[in-house]
Parts: sequence; C-alpha cells; structure tokens
Amino acid sequence: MKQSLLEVKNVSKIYQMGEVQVPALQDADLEVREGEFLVILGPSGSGKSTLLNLLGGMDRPSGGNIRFQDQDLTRASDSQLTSFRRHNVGFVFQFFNLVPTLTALENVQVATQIARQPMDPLQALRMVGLENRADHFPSQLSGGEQQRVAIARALASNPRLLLCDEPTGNLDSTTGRAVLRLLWDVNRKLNMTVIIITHSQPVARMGHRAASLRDGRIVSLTENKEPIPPEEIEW
Amino acid sequence: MVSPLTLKLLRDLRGRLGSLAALVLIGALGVASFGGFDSVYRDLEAARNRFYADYRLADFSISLKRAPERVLSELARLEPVVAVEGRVRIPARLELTGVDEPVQATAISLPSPPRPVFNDVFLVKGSWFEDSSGRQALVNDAFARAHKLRPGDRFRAVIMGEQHELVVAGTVMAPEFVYVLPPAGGIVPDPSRTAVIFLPHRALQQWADLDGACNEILGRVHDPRKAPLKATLSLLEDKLDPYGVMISIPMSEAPSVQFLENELQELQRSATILPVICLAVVAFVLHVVLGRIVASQRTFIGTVRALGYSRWQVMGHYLGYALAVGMATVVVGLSFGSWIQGAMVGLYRNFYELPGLTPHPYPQVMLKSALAGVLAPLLGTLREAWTASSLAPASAMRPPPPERGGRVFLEWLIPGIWKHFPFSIKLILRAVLRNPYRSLVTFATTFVATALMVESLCMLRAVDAMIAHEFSISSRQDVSVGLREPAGRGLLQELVSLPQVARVEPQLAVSCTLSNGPYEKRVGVTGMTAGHVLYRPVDSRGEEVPLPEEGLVLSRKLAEVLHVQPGDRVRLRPLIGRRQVVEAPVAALADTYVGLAAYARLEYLSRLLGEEWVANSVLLSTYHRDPGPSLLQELNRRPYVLGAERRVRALTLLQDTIGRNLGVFFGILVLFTGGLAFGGVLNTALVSLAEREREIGTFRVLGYTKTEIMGIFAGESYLVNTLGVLFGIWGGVVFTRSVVDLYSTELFRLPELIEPHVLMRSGLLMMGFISLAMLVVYGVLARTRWLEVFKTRE
Ligand SMILES: Nc1ncnc2c1ncn2[C@@H]1O[C@H](COP(=O)(O)OP(=O)(O)OP(=O)(O)O)[C@@H](O)[C@H]1O
Ligand SMILES: [Mg+2]
Repeated sequence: MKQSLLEVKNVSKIYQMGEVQVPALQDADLEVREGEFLVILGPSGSGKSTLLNLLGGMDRPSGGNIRFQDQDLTRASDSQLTSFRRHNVGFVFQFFNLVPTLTALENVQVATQIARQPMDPLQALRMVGLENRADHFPSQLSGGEQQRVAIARALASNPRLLLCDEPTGNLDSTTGRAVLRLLWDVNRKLNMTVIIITHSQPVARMGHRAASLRDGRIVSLTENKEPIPPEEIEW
Repeated sequence: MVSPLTLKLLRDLRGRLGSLAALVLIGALGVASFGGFDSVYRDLEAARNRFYADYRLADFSISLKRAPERVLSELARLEPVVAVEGRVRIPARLELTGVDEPVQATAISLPSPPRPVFNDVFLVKGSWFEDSSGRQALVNDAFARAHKLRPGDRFRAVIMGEQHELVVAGTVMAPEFVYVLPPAGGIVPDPSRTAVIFLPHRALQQWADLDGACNEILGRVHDPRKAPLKATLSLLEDKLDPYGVMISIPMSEAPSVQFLENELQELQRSATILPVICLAVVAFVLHVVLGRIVASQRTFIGTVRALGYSRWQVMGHYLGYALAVGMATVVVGLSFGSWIQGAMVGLYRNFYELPGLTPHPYPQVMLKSALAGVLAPLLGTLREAWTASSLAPASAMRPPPPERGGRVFLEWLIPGIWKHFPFSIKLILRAVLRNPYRSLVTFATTFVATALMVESLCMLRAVDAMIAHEFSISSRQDVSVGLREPAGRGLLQELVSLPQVARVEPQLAVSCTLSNGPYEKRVGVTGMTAGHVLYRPVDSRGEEVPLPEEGLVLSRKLAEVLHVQPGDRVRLRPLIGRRQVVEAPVAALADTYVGLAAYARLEYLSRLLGEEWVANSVLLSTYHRDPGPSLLQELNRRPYVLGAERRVRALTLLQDTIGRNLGVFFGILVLFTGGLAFGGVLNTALVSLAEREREIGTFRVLGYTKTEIMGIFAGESYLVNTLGVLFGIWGGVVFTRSVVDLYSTELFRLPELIEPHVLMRSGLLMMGFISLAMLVVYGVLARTRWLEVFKTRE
C-alpha cells in the first residue's frame, strides 16, 4: 500500500453570493496516494475545479479538513499556503497561462527561480521535447507547445504533486493525447503524483483511480487494475 | 427600466471607482481654477471699471510746486484737454491717542463742492463735511478699520509742522488709492501705519500755504491713448514750467492703478496655465484607460453587436465612461471653483479698497468651464469609443490577437548582458518597452507633476530669497528718516548724537527721467556717499556693486526697459532743481526685485540739482535691531522730519503678507502636484494591474508571494516613473525659468533661483508620492481574487 500524500476529510466549500449560498463541494472524502495518477471526472459545475483548487492550496475549505502529510492546509495562513504551493505543487491550466512577455525558457525560470531544488530549466524543456523552442515567445508557439511549456514549468520546481485542470480542454485530440502521454511519463518516470481533471470518460482509464463528482459530491471512486497509456485509449 | 448596457456601465464604473475618483479630482481642479480664477478676474475687473468710471478717475495728474488757480482755465482751453481741476496734495503725519508710532499719511483736498470733478471718493460710513472749516476729515476705510475709527472720533494731523485737531466725518474709498502703499517704499499695504485723508479744499490750501493755488492738477483728455496722452502731457509741462512741475504721469502709471492692472493680468495667466495642464492630464489618462477597457471587452462588443445593438449604441456606451467622469468633474469642479472665487475675493477685500467687490455668479463662465470639464474627457476617449463601435461583430467575437511576444531592442543591442539579467528584470524591461504607449503616459504624467513640483519649490525659495535680498542684503539700516526739505551735512551731526543711534548715512533720492532714444522711464535715482554700508546696490549673488564717481548703476530690469548695457550712456533729466539734461554713463547693473531703481553718488546727483551736497533722507543704524517707538517719536518731533520708519516693521509686514500668501499659494500647488503625481501614477498602475491580472494569478499559483509579485510590478512603475522624475526635474528648471520670465514685471520680480538641494527635495517628494500610489496598488493587488481570473478565457 502506497503512502498517503493528501488526506481530504469531510470537506465542503460554500460560495457566498450575496444572500444565496452555493454549495460547490459537499462532504468530500478522499485520500491521495504518493505516486498515483488520479483522474477527476464529472459534468460541468460538479465541483471538480473547486476540489482541485483546495488540494493545491489555492483556496481554503468552508468545512472539513485537508492535510498534506503533517501539514494542516485547513488552518494554514496565506503565506503558509503560498509556501506550500511554491515547494510542493505544480499547476497546469486549461488556458496555459504562460507569461506572454517571457520566452519559453524564461517562463520555466519563473518557477525554478523560487524553488528549493529545481531542475535545470533547459532540462525541463527537454523533457517536454521543446529544448529547441527555448527562445520562443508564447505567441510563437502552438497551443500544444504552449501547454507543454506550462507542464515543463510545473515540473521544473520538482513538486510532489502535479495538478492539471482540463489540460487538454483547449487542444485537438492528437495534441491532447501527446500532452496526456507526457503526464503519464511524468508519473511513471519521475514518480510524481498527478491529478488531472477531465470531461472525457475514456481518459479515466489511464489513471490508477478515478473519482466522479456530481452536484458537489464525490459519487464514486473506482480503482483501475490496469491503467492504459493514452495512445491506446479510444475517444 | 434601466437598459442592461447602462447597468453594465455603472458596474464597470463602480469597479474603477478609486482610480476614476483620482481622475475626477484632477479634472475638478482644472475646472475650478478655470472658472474660479476667471470669475475672480471678472469680479475684480468689473468692480474696478465701475469704480474708475463712476468716481471719475482722471486721465493724468501733474504735481508741481505751486500753480495759481487762474492757470487752470487756461489749460482747460487747450485743444486736447477736456477738463482740468487743481487740488492740494501734501504729506501729513497722523497721531492717534494710544498709538505710539506715527502714521504716514497723504492729505488731499476735495475741490469744487459738493463733489470734485475728478478722483471723487466713495463714502463708506458717516457723512460728508458739514462745512469747509477743516474741522472734519474723511479718512480711507482700511485705515479706519485698522484703528476702529468711527465717524465722530478725533485725531491729530501734523501738516507743514502744524498740528490740527480733526474729527472723522466719514470713511471713504478712493479710485486712485485702491491699493495703498506706504510712502516710504514697501510693496505691501500697511493700513495701520498708512493713511489717506481728505479735507475741504480751502482749509488745506491754507494749511499748505497754497492760498488761491494748487500743487496737483488732474485732468481728462479727448484721446487717452498712450502716445497722444504723452504728447499732451509734455505740452502741459511746457505751459506749467514756470510753476515748478515735478512729475506728470498718466493715471495708468499711478502705483495703485498699475498694481491692480498687474494683478488682473496675473489672474488671467493663472486662469489658463493650471486648467490646461489638469484637463490635458485627464484626457490623456482616460484615453489610455478606455483604450484598455475596449481591448479587454472585444468579446462583449461582438456579442452585443451580433445581438443587434447599433454601432452608435456601442459608441455611446463607451463614451459613457468619459461622460460620467466629465459630469462628476463638473459637479465637484464648479462647487470648488465657487469656493475659490469666494476665498480669493475675500482675500482681495482685505487688500483692496474697492467698493462693490463681491463674488458674483457668472453663468457664461460656469458654462464655459463646465463645457471644458466634459469635453476634455470626451475628446480624450473619442478615438477609443470609435474603435469600439467599428469592430465588426465577427472580428470582435474572435479571441483577441495574442499579446505580442518578441524581443525588445535591448536584447539585440546587448545580447551578452541581457542573457545574464534575472527574468524579473527582463520581465520589467520587456513590459516597459513593449508597451511604449502605456509607459509614455506614465512618464508624461510624472514628468508634468515633477516639473510643477520643482517650480513650486523653487518659487517658494525665491520668495524667501527675494525678501532676504531686498531687506537684509541690500538694505541694512534700522530706521529710515525722510526729510521735508533737502538738507546739508550739519543735520547728520545732529542725528548721530541721538540716543541709540550708531551710524547715519545720507541719501538723496531724485525723480528723474532716463531715456535712451525712444525708450524712456521715470525712476527715482538714489544717491549715496562714499563708504556707504547701510544701503548698497547688489547683484543677484549678493555682491556689492560699487558706485562710479560719475554716472549710474541701473537695476537690470531698468536697463532692459531702456535697452542699455554697462558702457552705454543714457540721457538723465532730473524732475526737480535746474532740470538740466545730462548724458550719464551706465557703469554697472545691480539686481532689485521690487520696482525699478537707479543709483549714483550723492555728490554727482547734488551737482545735477545745482547744489554741492544735499540729502533728502537719512538711514540710521541703531545699537538695537529694533529701536522701539521712543526713537521714532524723538525723530518725528523734529520739524524737518517728514517721517521715520523702522525696517523691522516693514520686514515683518512683508514676511507676514507676501510670505504667507505666496507660501499658501505655492503650498497648495505642492499638494496639488503631489495629487497629480499620485493620481496619475495610481491610474496607470491600476490599468496595467488589470491588464496583467492573469499573469499575476499565474505567479500566485506558482507560489510567488504578494511581495515578490509587487516587486516585479513596482519595478516597472518605478523604472518609468523615475525616468519621469529625472526628466521632470530638468523640465522643472526650464519651467521655473519661463515662469520667472513670465511674472517679471516692472513692479515685481522673483529671482531665478535654482538650487541643487531644492531639485533633490522635489525629486524625493515625488518619489514619496509615487510610493504612496504604489502602496495603494499593493493594497489592490493583495485584495485581488486571483483564482477568479482563471475561470474565464479573457
Ligand atoms: N467564486 C464563485 N462564486 C460562486 N460560485 C462559484 C464560484 N466558483 C464556482 N462556483 C460554483 O461552484 C460550482 C462548482 O464550480 P467548479 O468550478 O468547481 O465546477 P467544475 O466542475 O470545475 O465545472 P467545469 O467543468 O465547467 O469547469 C458551480 O456551480 C459554480 O457555479
Ligand atoms: Mg472547472
């Protein structure tokens, strides 16, 4: 049995919108294990992003408890959360979010500059197959390439946890597959814990486990005996 | 029902309330100074014109030794002359019980009962004389107020050495004495020590030994324009030559008239400079802000256009931002403007004896300034609103073109060095250079604000330096004594033996006309003996300018007016004595900041008058800096003394009034410039913050602290602003020079004083205001909900 990395207990998130309360996440229980590939599934508005943001220390829950090893994220201060993200989490977004005025290499340096034990930025670019694009600006890269730079940036600080919110949402299927392959490799070769959000049921088959959300609740958590690499998945 | 577009506009405005409020304040200052100063100008001008017209201010005045009254009818028959009237004008000394220092006064007769033909007086309180016995006098209102004199109160007047008991019949204001200056020099009114009293003509004729005669002639001409009037005056001078003409001047050159005119001109200048700067800044900043808003709302524009909204509706929507700012600006500006008007008119009422000087509302002025307040932001944003309205629905729906990446010229220029910059520096430099327009706006705002700051601080210092120059460096006597008649050396012996007196120095002041070809000016030439120390002509650095045995030292402004330089010669004609014209060499130039001046050796001047050695005033230095009233009383008891004055008093007065008023004025200007810098920096910084929301969010997610992000962000702001400050200091120096030039009149000037420590202080102050704005930006940054930005595409 693998060691547990994150423990989510009875967590809820309620957004206050004037008079109305929007329960985005309710009574979520989840244990994220070291080195696993976890896929989060669910229809739009089911609370996927909300959960991922809580796991990544981007936000605090309204109730319940989240622990990262011995650190209690529920009661962490703003600066403790910042330092948690800085040292333990890598993020990949649907819209890449590269800094447009920095080159690919410099975008990676944004992360390595503040990390405790970073990779060589060029090495990170090499991992995503873009070392020959190091001097390109985001506007000179394709969407898939931009997403790979974003992944390189997330990896470069050597985080324990890589969180991806619909990383293929903005890409065509071939490019999306390549990005997923990259994440697969990261998980296997670097033994990094990866959590991705996706809308597509088939993608769940590449994870060790898949959590399904509906209306702010985790409705199922299935274990995958044999994860399938992305290029073998049909969708 | 409110249209959804209006609702959106209101929400957008509310979201930018802070930065828009700063902009509104800047604009309001522009509207307020535009409308306020212009209204004050109109109030003052209208009151002046009405007073001059209703109380029949003469076109000219001629003072002479003694002209028999029958001459007047002869003069009136001269062709260019409409009418003339003779009166008596003579220095007097007033004594009030309980006031230990004497009051210097001018006594003037009011001829041709019931009212004089020219220069009538306006009765403020009390009544006219009951008879022509001379028991009753009218006194000027400011003096009466300073001593709480009321009709029926008594005082003594010493005229030609004789004491007269007088009763106040009424208090008055006179068109030729709107601004009453102390006779012994000085440029600020001193109503408690200076007075003008009016007496029945017959009585004053008797007291002044001028029975059946007068010593001042007022008159009006058919053609009051400058050149014909001058010609008429010289014709009159010729006619009057046998009666000892001393000075003939157009009334427009009378001190009070000139001062008022000067003030009006300055008001007009102030009503232009400040508003133009303020409104230009508003237009400029709003132009940038709206440009960004439109760029970020392309999708919205495309959507509403696709839904069938017309392009005019879209254009109207975006002009709504400017309109909202403009209307708020006008509301705040107009109320602030009328406050300025009230305050300034109130201030003038203390200085000027001008009936009917009250603040009036001027609808056209309000309309004009309101229009300016609305038009400036509208014009600034017209292009942006047009751009928005001309976006085709389809193109607007497409995602915005990706933000331009690419190298900036520095990377090509110094690739070796560039490589080694940390990415944060690269980020800052690229942000600055890749958004040249945004950077330029920030730069320009800071540049203008800094230049204004430098100017205000330099002027503040210049006021101090001017006072020091005139009252400590140039003149160092403790008491100055005016003599009734020119006197010889013997008098000095007598004065130096008085208690407290340490040193005496004679002076001879002679009114002369100096001319060089077509250029002519009447000035007082001051003569001093060798070894004088109590009063010295000095240059702008405070170095004494030695007097030549023969010839003149001129003040720089006078030399400018006469178009002469050291080494040139001027024609010099004394207005008293033998009036012999001589050619005098100009030996050197000195600097004075008040009035025009010329200096010569006393012996040289005496000879021009046909005397060997005469003085008409004496400077004393005493063992105490402030000798107190007893010495003055002692001096005033002597019949040959016209008046005596302590320098301490003049200095205190000057510092109190000029120093305080200018101090407040420039103090406000410093605050205003700070506000301008603050508002400008805040606005551009907030715009660029909004533009880079996503970038900032990314940094936050990656684990950068707020302080680290602020560092990058502030780096950009500081880089551009520091450049703005540095160039602004240079701009300020240029600006100060031109303002000194602009405000340099024959009456009053300020030294062009540009000191490194003042420049340094301006720079530091500006950096302070910029840092303050950065603090606010940090607050906004810290409160930004950065998670939200990832939920939308753009
Ligand atoms: N800041 C917020 N304020 C109010 N409600 C919010 C906020 N953020 C999210 N919600 C609500 O919380 C619920 C869950 O949102 P969440 O973003 O987690 O959904 P999601 O599963 O990621 O959806 P999608 O697949 O569309 O990204 C939604 O109903 C949403 O409207
Ligand atoms: Mg989501």
